[in-house]
This record gives sequence, structure tokens and C-alpha cells, in this order.
Amino acid sequence: MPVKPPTIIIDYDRCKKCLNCIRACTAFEGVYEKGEDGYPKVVRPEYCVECLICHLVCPSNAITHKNYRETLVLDLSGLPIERYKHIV
Amino acid sequence: MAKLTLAAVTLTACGGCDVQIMRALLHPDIMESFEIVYWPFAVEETRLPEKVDVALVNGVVRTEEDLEKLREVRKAARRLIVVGSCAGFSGIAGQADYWPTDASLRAVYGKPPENTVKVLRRVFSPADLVPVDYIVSRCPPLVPSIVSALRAVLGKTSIETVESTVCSQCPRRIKEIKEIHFKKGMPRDADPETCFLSQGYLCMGSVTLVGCGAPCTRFGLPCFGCSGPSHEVALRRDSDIVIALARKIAVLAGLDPVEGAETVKKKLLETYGPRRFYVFTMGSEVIRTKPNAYAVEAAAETRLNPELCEKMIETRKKYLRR
Ligand code: SF4
Ligand code: SF4
Ligand code: SF4
Ligand code: SF4
Ligand code: SF4
Repeated sequence: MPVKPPTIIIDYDRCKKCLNCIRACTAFEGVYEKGEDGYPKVVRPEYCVECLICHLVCPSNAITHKNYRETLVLDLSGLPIERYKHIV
Repeated sequence: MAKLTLAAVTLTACGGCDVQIMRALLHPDIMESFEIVYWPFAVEETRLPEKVDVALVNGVVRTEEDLEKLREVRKAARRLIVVGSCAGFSGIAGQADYWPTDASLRAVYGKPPENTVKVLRRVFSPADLVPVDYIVSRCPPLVPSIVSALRAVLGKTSIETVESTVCSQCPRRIKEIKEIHFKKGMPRDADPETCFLSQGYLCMGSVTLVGCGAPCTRFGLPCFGCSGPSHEVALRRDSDIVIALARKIAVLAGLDPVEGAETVKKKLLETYGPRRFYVFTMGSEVIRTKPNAYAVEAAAETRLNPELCEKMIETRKKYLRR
């Protein structure tokens, strides 16, 4: 079981203030809250269940979780993975 | 430093990429560092040398000749850069798969001509067939991007891809969606400061790779996805353009990200048809091999509906007669 809550970082340069992350967060208490400036803030990272739904609903891929379990379902053919390292 | 030799190869393409390559090669530092040894578009040499340092390839593999050329250039080149969304993700030229080949030939020539080039059964993007060093995506590809790929080959810069989407560069404000209802056609009556999705129009920005600067949405057109699919769509086996987009729209409308997304997906496909979502990726293996993708369904539309083909042939003939 995780003992340390994940570190959740929102890249405010990318964030669109759409608040999809707040709407979709699975945690009972809600990890995010809307700040006074209209941007979402990470207020309760300890409740995060690491479902990563917030990543999928974010239109600009602005959210990163650090030290969370790896859940990405990668395409094992390797085809796009290699390619996406070198795209301009 | 001795100049590096450069070959530019055009497969089945529209010529737009060649123009962009030309503009990139006019940069003084690029001009100083590369010597063009083969490029039918601009130099006289008609044979590809056996060895070149760098090759720029644009267009799709549509004919046997294209396939041969691609093999040849991959064998010859130390570094291979594919240029344009055609070469990266099948692009606009990948739309050729929408029509059965004989229908396309009939539309242009009346009856299929004899002794013509051998057209393959489907379109491939070069990046799906051979290992590539860099992909310069977009249609047309941006000149600065071609330049930075060439500089990377010279070891002057390194290229880091950014895992974000067109939305992050788009100035339009995303607002909550009141009701799931999609409008067809161009967003002529749309508010210029609000996101197209919030106004019921389709925009592919949130599932498209960042980097273009969102010129289309700034100008009043929705994003059609010319940069290719975002990392989320491309790297996740369970993802696809339609469902990834539907999930974001569903949550904007206050629906559940799983069940709501399915409802929205259905509605999207009903309203626009599958082809609309794969304008630049219909022939891409990255997309076609996804269990949840509709690229193959999109391409099958005309096979399942011969009347549609006949209608296209008639329209095309009329257009050619003009
Ligand atoms: S979902 Fe993404 S873009 Fe929207 S408010 Fe949250 S972090 Fe910002
Ligand atoms: S990973 Fe899940 S629980 Fe954690 S912040 Fe994102 S949506 Fe909430
Ligand atoms: S990527 Fe665009 S500009 Fe380049 S060949 Fe294809 S259609 Fe033409
Ligand atoms: S969906 Fe389109 S209009 Fe909306 S923010 Fe993204 S790029 Fe801009
Ligand atoms: S906004 Fe979309 S269609 Fe327009 S240039 Fe960018 S990626 Fe291409």
C-alpha cells in the first residue's frame, strides 16, 4: 500500500481553467478545489486514489502525478512509443 | 566542417511539403551545413546516391514505386527525417483509402488506364514501414520545425517532445457545456473567445499534439488534428481519438467520465460519421491497430455503400469538366 501521497503538479501554463479535474476526481473528499484565481488547486493529495481519471479528462494534459503506481496501458508493439520520443 | 549530404524524397504527396523543405533549406546555417545531392523537386540529379548523411522523406506510400523508393532511401541514409503529417500519420493523402482504388481511377480517367503505376491495396505512412529518426508533423509542416530537426541532426540542438495538446496554446476559454448537442458545418456564428466545444462545435484540439500554436482556432476554424494524435491517444492501447475526445466533452457537460463518455461518443459518431475524426490519421497503423478506433470503419464506409462511390465519381467528373 502506498504510504506517501503522490505529488500532484498542475502546469498552470497549460491549464485552461476548465475545471474538468475537479468535476471528475474520484476521491470522496475531492483532491482539487477551485482557487480564487479560477485555477484548480491541489488541496487534499492524501485522498488521491491514483485513478488518473483527471489526466484523461484534462484537455491540455496539464496534470502530472509523481511517485504513483504505474498504470499506463502501453501499446506493446513499441511502434508509437519509439516514435513519440522524436516528434517535432 | 565538411557539409553533410542531403537527399529529399517525395513519395505520393501534394507538393506542399517540398515547398516547406525549400524554405527550411534557405536558412543560412542550414545552407552552410548541407549539400543537396538528390531532390527531384529542385536539383537535376536523377539517381539517389548509395550513401547520404540525411534524408528528408515526405508523402505516403501509395504505389509500388513509392515502396521501392522508401526502401532505397532508408538503406542509403544515415539519418532519416519524415516530414509532414502524410509521412508521419498518413495525413491527407491517407484519405485515398476512403475510396476503392478503381473508383478513384474511374473518377479521373473514365475507365482505369492500362500500364499505369501499380497502386498498392492500401496507403501506408513511411513512419509505419521503416525506422525513422525524427518526425516533423503537421500539414503543411512548419518551417522552424524542419529547421530544428536538421539542427538536431547536426548536433546543435536536441529535441524534446512536449506531452501536451493544441488546447494549451489556444486562447479560447473553455466553458461548461450546457447540453450535449453537436452542430455540423463550420462555426461561422461562434463566439471568437469561447472554445468551440463549449459552443457545440467539434474541435480536435484536446486530442492533438501541441506545437502549432493553434493558428486555426485563433483564425476561427476548429482544429482538424493535423499535428497527429496526442500522447494520450497514441500511447495508450485502450485509447482512441473519438473516445478520448468524448471523455473530455462528457465531463465538461457534467457527465460521468466513463458512461457519459460512451454516450457522447455515440452522439459524436452519429452526428459527424467516423471519417471526420481521422482526417489526418486514417491510414496510420498507430491508430488503425487500436481496438477502440474507428479508422478502419471510416475507410470501409464506401466499400459498404457502392452508391456513395458512384456519386463521388459523378461529382468528380463534373468538377474535372469545369
Ligand atoms: S482539467 Fe486540466 S485544464 Fe482543466 S482545470 Fe484541470 S488542470 Fe486545468
Ligand atoms: S488520480 Fe484520481 S483521485 Fe487522484 S486526483 Fe486524479 S482523479 Fe482525483
Ligand atoms: S503533409 Fe500536407 S503538405 Fe505535406 S504532402 Fe501531405 S498533404 Fe501535402
Ligand atoms: S478544444 Fe479547440 S477551441 Fe477549445 S480550447 Fe481546445 S483547441 Fe481551443
Ligand atoms: S490547430 Fe490543429 S489543424 Fe490547425 S495547425 Fe494546429 S494541429 Fe493543425
